[in-house]
Amino acid sequence: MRAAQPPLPLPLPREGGGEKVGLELDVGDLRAGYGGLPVLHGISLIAPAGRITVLVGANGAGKTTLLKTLAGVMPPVSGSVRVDGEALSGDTPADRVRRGMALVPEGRHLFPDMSVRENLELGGYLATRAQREEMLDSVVGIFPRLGERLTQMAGTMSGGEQQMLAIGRALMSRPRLLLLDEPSLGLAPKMVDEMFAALRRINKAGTTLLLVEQNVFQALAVADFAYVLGHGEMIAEGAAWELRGNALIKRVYLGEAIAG
Amino acid sequence: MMRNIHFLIAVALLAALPAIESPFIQSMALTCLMFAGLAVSWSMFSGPTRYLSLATSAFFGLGAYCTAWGLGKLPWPAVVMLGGCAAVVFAFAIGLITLRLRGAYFAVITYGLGELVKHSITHVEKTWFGTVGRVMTETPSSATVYWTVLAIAALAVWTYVAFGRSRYGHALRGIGMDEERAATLGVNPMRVKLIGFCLSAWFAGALGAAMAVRWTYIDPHTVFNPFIVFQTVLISMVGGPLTIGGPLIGALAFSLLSEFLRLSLPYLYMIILGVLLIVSVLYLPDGIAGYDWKRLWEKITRRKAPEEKP
Repeated sequence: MRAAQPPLPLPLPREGGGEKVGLELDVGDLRAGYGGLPVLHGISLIAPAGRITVLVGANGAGKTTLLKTLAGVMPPVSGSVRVDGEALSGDTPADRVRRGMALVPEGRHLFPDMSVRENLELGGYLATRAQREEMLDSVVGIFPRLGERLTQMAGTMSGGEQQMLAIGRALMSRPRLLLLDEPSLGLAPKMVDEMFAALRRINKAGTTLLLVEQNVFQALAVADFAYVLGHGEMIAEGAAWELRGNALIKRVYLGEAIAG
Repeated sequence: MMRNIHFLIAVALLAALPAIESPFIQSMALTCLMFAGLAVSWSMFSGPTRYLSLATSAFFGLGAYCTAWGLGKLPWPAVVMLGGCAAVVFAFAIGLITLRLRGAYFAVITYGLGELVKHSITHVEKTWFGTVGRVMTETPSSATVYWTVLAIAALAVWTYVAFGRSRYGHALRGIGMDEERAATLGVNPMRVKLIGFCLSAWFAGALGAAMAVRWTYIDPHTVFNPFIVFQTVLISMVGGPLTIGGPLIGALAFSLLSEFLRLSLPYLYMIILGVLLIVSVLYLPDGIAGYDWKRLWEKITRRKAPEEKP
């Protein structure tokens, strides 16, 4: 676990040198839903800058809805979303990417008929050509397997490789806050380990991570802070190591996760 | 690099065609180039986004009417440019409304708005100018028209390739596969779609402006003919809009087919077109150029091999 990792080749921080990289995410009393049907009943959470925060919860608890609202593809009903203290209300998804937010969607959602390189380039859509090339090298540095397959169609890769591409594509916009929706879903155990190791390296370079997971044990192992979401409400929060020992969480959620 | 050279050689050879003094070959080449230009420009937008645009006839007709109004008052290149720009303005206006729609709605609305333009022009011509059609005098030579159409078609091919490689081209394909996903990556879908739609409209408008002089007399029913867009869509779909070879192969095949069949068997021609479209939609969803012919060839040869052995 403690084996020396090569330094992350991400060209972060963006401007200047000593400036902090990660953004702090502050969600206050967020309510959202689909066509009048409420899914989130007032969610509050803080993902501190430069840390890994994990959000666990069973299926249907509203995790994906929360991330969609944060990324700006779904409008909230009420409540606030702030990054580094600035409110995001009214920001389009593109504005949020410009601010340094990136989402790795659930089920990867790559562009299957586009090559690995084209998928990555689209991730750096808002960057200049030179920045794109630079970030492409960095991403290939983190996921060498992608470098070997730049011309392959994304849809023909294995699940683990697709997940790496999805993360790499999000990294192309040089995010300072990375939102991940169940990145371990459907991956072989070995790939899950590899993926979590990559996330830890990305975080070490300074990027704030908000990780939504059903793979509770491994998520709590990498995270600094954890929130437990149940049916649109926060039911527990605290340091990740604390929640690992929490009896209620074990019985209600971890038990369910193992059974299901 | 090699591709660039092939492209330039092809354009140079085509440019020399008027040297053959055969009106039949010239007219056939002109039709072929016109449909190549229309199909390539249609595929530029509708291929990656999978938006079935039926506005091509409207763009074409608007371009043609720009020629009818501007010929003699403006120099020839300006007339053609004006035709393209008129189509762009129209595309921008209808794009703002229709590009929020998807699927059949988009197709029906673009077709309907095209009809609206046709009838508006009919009305304006009748009430303001007291005419139902326009005769064009001072038309440029047929060689000039041919070179103009060739230049527009060549520019369309170049734009198709360059646009497809640009970040806008990638974004357009991303939107076609999953619009919301593209948006989360920072793409502004409406902006990118508008750019693609307007770009594709310019070529259709410019081609309409250039081709208008071939008829010498035009009225809204000839230049806003829905057959223009149907043929364009057919060529692109059968050829395959996702690679540049598709619309080009399609345009060549259809121009030859129509030239020979329409004269001898007018009804059979339309039937064959219909059957071809059905077959291509059912069995070649990505068109002739998008089909994996190599694999089919391997399948056939592998199946035949054991039969020959004993």
